[in-house]
Amino acid sequence: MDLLVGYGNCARRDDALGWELAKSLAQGLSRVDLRLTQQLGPELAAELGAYRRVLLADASAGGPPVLLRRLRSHAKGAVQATSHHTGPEVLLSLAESLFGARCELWVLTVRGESMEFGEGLSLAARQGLKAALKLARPLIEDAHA
Amino acid sequence: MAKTISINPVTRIEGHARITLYTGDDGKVTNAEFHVNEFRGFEKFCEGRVYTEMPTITPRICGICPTSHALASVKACEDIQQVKIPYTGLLLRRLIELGQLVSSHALSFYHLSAPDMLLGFDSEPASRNILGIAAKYPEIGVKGIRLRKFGQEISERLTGKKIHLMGIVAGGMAYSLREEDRQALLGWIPEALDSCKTALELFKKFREENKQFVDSFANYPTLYMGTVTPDGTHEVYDGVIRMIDENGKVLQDFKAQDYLMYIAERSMDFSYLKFPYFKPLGIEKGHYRVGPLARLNVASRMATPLAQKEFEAYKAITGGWPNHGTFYYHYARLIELLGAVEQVRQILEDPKVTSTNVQSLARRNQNEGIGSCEAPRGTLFHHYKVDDTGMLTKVNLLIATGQNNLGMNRSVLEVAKAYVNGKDVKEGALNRVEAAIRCYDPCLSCSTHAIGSMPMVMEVYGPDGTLLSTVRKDA
Repeated sequence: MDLLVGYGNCARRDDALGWELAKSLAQGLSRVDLRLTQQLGPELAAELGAYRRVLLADASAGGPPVLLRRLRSHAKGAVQATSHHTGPEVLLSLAESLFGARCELWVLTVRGESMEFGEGLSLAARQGLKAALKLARPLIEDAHA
Repeated sequence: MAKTISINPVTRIEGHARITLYTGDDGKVTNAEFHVNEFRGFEKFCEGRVYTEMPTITPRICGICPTSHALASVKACEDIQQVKIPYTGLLLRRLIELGQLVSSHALSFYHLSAPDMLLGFDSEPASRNILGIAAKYPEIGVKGIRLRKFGQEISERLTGKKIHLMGIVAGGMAYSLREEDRQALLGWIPEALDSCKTALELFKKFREENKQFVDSFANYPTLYMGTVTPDGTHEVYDGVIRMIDENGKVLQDFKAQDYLMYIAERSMDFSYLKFPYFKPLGIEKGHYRVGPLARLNVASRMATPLAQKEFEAYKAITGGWPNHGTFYYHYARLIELLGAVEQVRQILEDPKVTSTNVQSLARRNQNEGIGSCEAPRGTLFHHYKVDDTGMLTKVNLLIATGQNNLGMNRSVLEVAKAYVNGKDVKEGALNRVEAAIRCYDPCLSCSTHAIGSMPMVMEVYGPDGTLLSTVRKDA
């Protein structure tokens, strides 16, 4: 069983990319759980242990147009300066150290062009979305082959 | 030399704020100001909306206490409609409010304040948070994370969303509770009760080892306000609003609709957060506090057995008199947390909780409505005026955190005087000043809603503190 998590603020244009990615990837797949959320929180760490593979999908403000990467285990007790924002690395660290999770954790990001208030993806974001789906689909479908 | 010390930002709270401490030539703190520097404006931009939209709009004020806003809002709508909601609708509202209380109080203690108690006020700031607790005390980290998750799951199972819920509507609820969800939530109860007991043990141990600190931390008398049932039992959804003095004498019982007779507000120029006070006594003597400390001062008893036992031990500390110690907000909060889990179980065991009769229908029957409930941080009021078409002409939100503004400012001053030396400022001392704010578990994003335009003054200071220029934008 896999988990797809899309996160971001759908009222801020391209920040909705996470949700759109996760929803599109989950379409037609019966053995995938889908979570759509505003941001990652420590509570999600408690759930990861139930899954073999987890993919987190989000918009990025910079970096490459599309990036798919696997996160590796961190040293036990990895901490960061603020718990206001729980990043994927911290999530994995909490999931492994507190909840014994042994899942594969992947992060899929698409660079957003506009994070202003509003709905609807920019042209660049829509193009990035298509490329990201093409890149990530084999990973998800492979799990269900 | 006299100077100012700025703590910016205040950490491990919800929202944005800073603290300014003023010291004299001898380094002693002479004054303190707690600045809330964000502005939300819901009171203004909701004018012109249809009043029945408000239970959906106002939860977006906050991600920590959206349910409280939804409930106060929907009760204001139902005051306009003069409608009575079905028994099961009431049960589900109580259930979801208690779930929020669990989630919010678990966050406040385990995530925001326990790091100081477990890791030390002078410990490394970068790891003085829930992640630092998880690293050093993994079992406690698990309990803190899962207890908050339980509270969120109540909302998610009932409405489909953990935060910014939808489904609390005028007349009742839009959803009923499925049997499978009821069973799933009941399955959480033993673990949740255990986590509440762990939290209480942690606090009691800290108090035992730091009794002088806990007892003296911003300890000063005020009035207190909270909701109780007619017989004085602790209550969070609906009841009598009670104001007591520092000796526990009841000054006034009133219903939400009469709040303006007893509560007034004043603005001050160093914060966007207004300063409510008890009107009959004026701002000098009408300083009151709300939230867990206040609720347990106002109440005569708790509604459930385990919480009642803890309440009795808690009251014994002060011989039955009101507790004025600000640090005891944490203890009071944990007793409420335990009581909330017990009440969740009671509701889930009610045979009518899965009934589908959850909403009554009605239309506007009067042009003004006021609703209140106890948010995790204190009493919350929503007051709406509408025209004959149901469009809002006026909105007033009296937020729980705002009612603690005088308290937060006073507490910051008291703690700063006790721990800060302007000639040798230590990080741990400033953390203790921040901890005074954390006792109140403020929700600052909720609390700043100005009416009208927003005056602004920008002052530019040189490195030696000399005022170089002032730029002003008047209202």
